[in-house]
Amino acid sequence: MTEKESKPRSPEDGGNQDFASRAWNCPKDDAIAAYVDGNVDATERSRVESHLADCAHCRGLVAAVVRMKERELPAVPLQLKQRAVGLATPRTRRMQWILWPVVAAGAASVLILTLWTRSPQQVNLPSTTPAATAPTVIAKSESAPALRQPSGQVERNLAASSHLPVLIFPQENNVLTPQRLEFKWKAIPQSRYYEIRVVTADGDLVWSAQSENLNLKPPSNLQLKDGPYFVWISAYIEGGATQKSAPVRFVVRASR
Amino acid sequence: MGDPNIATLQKELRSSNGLAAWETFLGIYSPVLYQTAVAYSDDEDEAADCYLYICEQLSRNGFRRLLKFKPEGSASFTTWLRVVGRNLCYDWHRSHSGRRRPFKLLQVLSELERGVYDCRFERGLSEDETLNQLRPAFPGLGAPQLHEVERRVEDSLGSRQRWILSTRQILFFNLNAALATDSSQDGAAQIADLRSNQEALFAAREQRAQLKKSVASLSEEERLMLQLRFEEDLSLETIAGLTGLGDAQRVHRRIRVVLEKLRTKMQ
Repeated sequence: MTEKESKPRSPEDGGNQDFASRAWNCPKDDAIAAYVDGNVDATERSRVESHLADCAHCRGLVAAVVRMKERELPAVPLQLKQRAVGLATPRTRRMQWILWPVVAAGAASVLILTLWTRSPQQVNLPSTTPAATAPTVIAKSESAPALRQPSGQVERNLAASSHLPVLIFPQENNVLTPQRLEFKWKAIPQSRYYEIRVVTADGDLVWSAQSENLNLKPPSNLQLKDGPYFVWISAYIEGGATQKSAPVRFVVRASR
Repeated sequence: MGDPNIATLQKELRSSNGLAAWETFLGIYSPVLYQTAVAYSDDEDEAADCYLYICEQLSRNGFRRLLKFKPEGSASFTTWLRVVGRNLCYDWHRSHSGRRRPFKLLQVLSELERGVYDCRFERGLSEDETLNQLRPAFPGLGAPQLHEVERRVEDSLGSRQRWILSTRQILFFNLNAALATDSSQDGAAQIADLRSNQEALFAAREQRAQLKKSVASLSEEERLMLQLRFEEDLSLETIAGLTGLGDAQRVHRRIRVVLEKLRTKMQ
């Protein structure tokens, strides 16, 4: 090996330790950074080094960062910097990504309720509603376009989302014991493999793994504390595209 | 580079003035991010793509990643940013190239050949270990047949594939050289092309398997020392700084002791 930094080999080449995946038990970024900076006490140093001895990913990471520190900083092409400036969008609420599945679930409930209240069967039932509101319901239920339009819309959306990975288990807001925890999802055509990511409600990654199968069980040594988590699946499609499922919230509780 | 007041920058990123703060951030830290991308890929276009990917990820969800840095913690912001950037480089690479795939030639190998390939070429097991692994599935498999199959698999590998396999064993190649030359100074070893001499090739593979086993029996601290020196190719000074051993001389002495220990185990 030369003094120049080792490059990651292409995964097609079989890669090497530099490309080894990050594991759930890898130290956090700030722990690795503090170790590289030498700002750690003996206990923390021993903890990080004990991990480094067995983790090729973190070892490669530490070596790469150390080498970068020893080098001069390059000049960034002006055009490139300008493109980077344009990448940011105005700030949205921080927790929005966590809330949107809840909003989506709420919207779906409203839609289902609307369809239910407008369905012909419902209209044919003996009405106990006040007379004043009955004609409005009948008038709307008799209007074919008014009924078909929303259902057509739903079908179109379903067709579009059929290319997205969907978690079969757990379902939204399922409460599970750690022993019951297993993730299952629907197959996506031409997927090479899937990546699963589990994060805490704060967005901290607790576990990620890859699989070519349609289900995965977390390793037995993954100790999830009681509380809410979010999980989503990314499907890596041939040709380089990636499709990500909507995050699904579930709750871990040691005893139910 | 001294880190300016990160807490102030984070506060501005959180505010309605976030876009201006992002521009300020890039004005200061773009070289760090670009260096991270350049260190990851030699290709200028790839490095540019990677740099933009890092920036995109840092700016997502209202700069969520940047806001995760704890200014009161013990890591400096620049080092932390390099760590985050490097991890994003892996993500970028994976999103573009997918993950590690086995060689295509494996599809045409027989079950026994695939087993031999896995044990000897991928996992670096010794001849005895390979026989122990494969005998339940292939009763009666002996050393001569194993040699024959190994030779067939070896012949079917292209030069590029052979090179790739050798890079995965870089620690053991470099360690072999260090053990032979009694030196902890020169981490680099030439990877000899042994194709012309099959016996030497088997012997080398056998020796590597034994070395792998001996390295695995070392303590974590000893193993890490060798890995940082002979796998990551870090200088003695750098290792001294990382491991808190103080100076290069101490690291040099420590590595010599570990190499001596390895030599004894190998005999």
